[in-house]
Amino acid sequence: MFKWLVGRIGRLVGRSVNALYYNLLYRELLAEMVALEGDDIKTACVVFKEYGREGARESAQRQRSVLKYFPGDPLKLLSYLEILWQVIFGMKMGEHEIIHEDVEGKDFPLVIYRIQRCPICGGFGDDPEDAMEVKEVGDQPEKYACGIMGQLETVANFILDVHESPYMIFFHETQCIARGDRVLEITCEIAEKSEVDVARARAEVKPEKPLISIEKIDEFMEAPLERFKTVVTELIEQHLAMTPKELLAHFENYEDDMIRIIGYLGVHLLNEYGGFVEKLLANETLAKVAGYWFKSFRDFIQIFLPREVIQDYHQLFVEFIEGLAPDTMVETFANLDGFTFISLVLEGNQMALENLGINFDELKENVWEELRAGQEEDFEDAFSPETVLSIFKELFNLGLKLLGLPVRALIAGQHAQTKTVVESARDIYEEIKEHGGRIFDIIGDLKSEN
Amino acid sequence: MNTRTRVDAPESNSDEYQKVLFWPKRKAPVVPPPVDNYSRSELLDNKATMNQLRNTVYHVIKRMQDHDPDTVLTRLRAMGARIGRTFVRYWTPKVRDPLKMIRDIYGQVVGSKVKVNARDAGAFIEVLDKNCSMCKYQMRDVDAAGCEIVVGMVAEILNHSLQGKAGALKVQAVGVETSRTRGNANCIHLFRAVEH
Repeated sequence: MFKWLVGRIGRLVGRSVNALYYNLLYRELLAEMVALEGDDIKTACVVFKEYGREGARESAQRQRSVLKYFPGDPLKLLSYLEILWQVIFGMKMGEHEIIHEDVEGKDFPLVIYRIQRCPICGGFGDDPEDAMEVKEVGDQPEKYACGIMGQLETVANFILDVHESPYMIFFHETQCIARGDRVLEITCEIAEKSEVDVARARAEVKPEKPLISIEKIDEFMEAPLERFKTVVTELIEQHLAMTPKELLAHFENYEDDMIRIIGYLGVHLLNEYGGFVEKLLANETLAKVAGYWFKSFRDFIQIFLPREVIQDYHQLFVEFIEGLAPDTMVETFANLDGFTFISLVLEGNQMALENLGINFDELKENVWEELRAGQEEDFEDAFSPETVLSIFKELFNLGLKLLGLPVRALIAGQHAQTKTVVESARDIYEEIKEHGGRIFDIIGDLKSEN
Repeated sequence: MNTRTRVDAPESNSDEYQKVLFWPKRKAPVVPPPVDNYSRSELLDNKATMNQLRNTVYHVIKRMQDHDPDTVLTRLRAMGARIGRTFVRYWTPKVRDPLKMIRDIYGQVVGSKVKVNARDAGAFIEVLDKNCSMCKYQMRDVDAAGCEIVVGMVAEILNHSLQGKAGALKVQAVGVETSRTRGNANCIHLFRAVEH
């Protein structure tokens, strides 16, 4: 789920072009470097890798809010190379093997990616404009994909620096299809910074520790309730130096406010991951669509949702808070009506959404009036009603699937069997991914219309 | 067994720097084995993310400026023309009207929804791109915008697509009139309309 989510968000936040254009632009940039270096492709590749590093460093500084959530362990980080690949090239890494080759006296093995197909040099040699003698590059670690190696190397080291890791990673292109090799082979060498103190690889990167590492999402989904309880306990003890019971005792007799705060923090926590919610809501039309969807969803819950589903959510919360909060408080929460509980959470959600850019006061009674007003005024840049309706439909479908989650989590918790949880979660994963994917596509279309 | 030599930090890209690093040396095979690499037709159906390469373009432009500032624009448009020449072997616009064709090229190739207008009684064609793939931030130390490459490429694809059609229009790349790279709000690309 995490890898899929990061891939889609990365593509949405990034500026996409046709992959063939990317491939040809890369060819031209490298060819220009070769010309500028007096037809010396070896030097050109070394310099172009450096330019790749520089370009990625500027980009990484701007995207640090997203990158800080990647793992700070070098080996773990390298397992995310496939995601970075997919974000950059818009296609999966495809058939590849990963080899760990131990190096005597080193803490980490060499991690070797052997990739069967390379989108950087794909088609190179098929057209007369491919005028470069790549074979002349020889055995040096900078070959045709040097610019990309520089980019990947810098992003990886930026993440390690954010986590104050004592290690850095070097990306060497050890085999190159454009040179005549069978595969693209990337050899990743993890080295101690004290060994290789290259100052340029640490461009004033301030260390930053994320509140919760996003890589844990999949673990949460495997044992949602207990796992989440443990993490919350650890976080409270670590950051506030008190037990959850001591903290929650402060909210005794203010249980309503506490539920509102949970709703409020839930939205802000979601936004923590790269400021994604805030970035989306910065677009006035998307903010309106989100506002109308939220209003409709709130009304929908009150009118149509079966009491049992609401009770499931309420029950899930009570089970979560049990053991964390004082007993009297748990009892108060348990005695709350399910609809009251959900309304309080939604009040908190709304406050957070207002903070992040939705002006609920400006919204009309419902989305249909807004669409009619847009058509009457004939705004040149207004989104088509079809697009707005599509996003509404997908958001509702996604909402309905999410409403089914607590039942599964409770069943899984009662059975305490990971297998049950995984099987139970698998189909809902797929459905959420399907509807989520469509929403990403529609938002992508909306973005490109702006 | 491969080992690493401990030395003081050298200058980047120097020979000394390279020696610090371990990397397995492998000889390229004499006869390249057959590989099933991506074809350009396959790439055509995918999208790639420009953010990092866009920044890299500006480092190359800086280098071109240092080499010879007078030839930068010509070189950038020539790069674009070569991209266009290869691109049309795999894709051509599906519409016939030249102005719609330009819109189609921008949409398909660089993922921009642009506004295309004829200017000065049809002598020029102006393209407004509010979300240019090559420009996002102002770059104070470069004079040329990266989208000069796009201008060269679009002219090449358009002319190639219209070649041989009776009375068809031909365009010449005039250049980038405004650009986000130069601190403007949008990029405006200009083409001169000429007869074939």
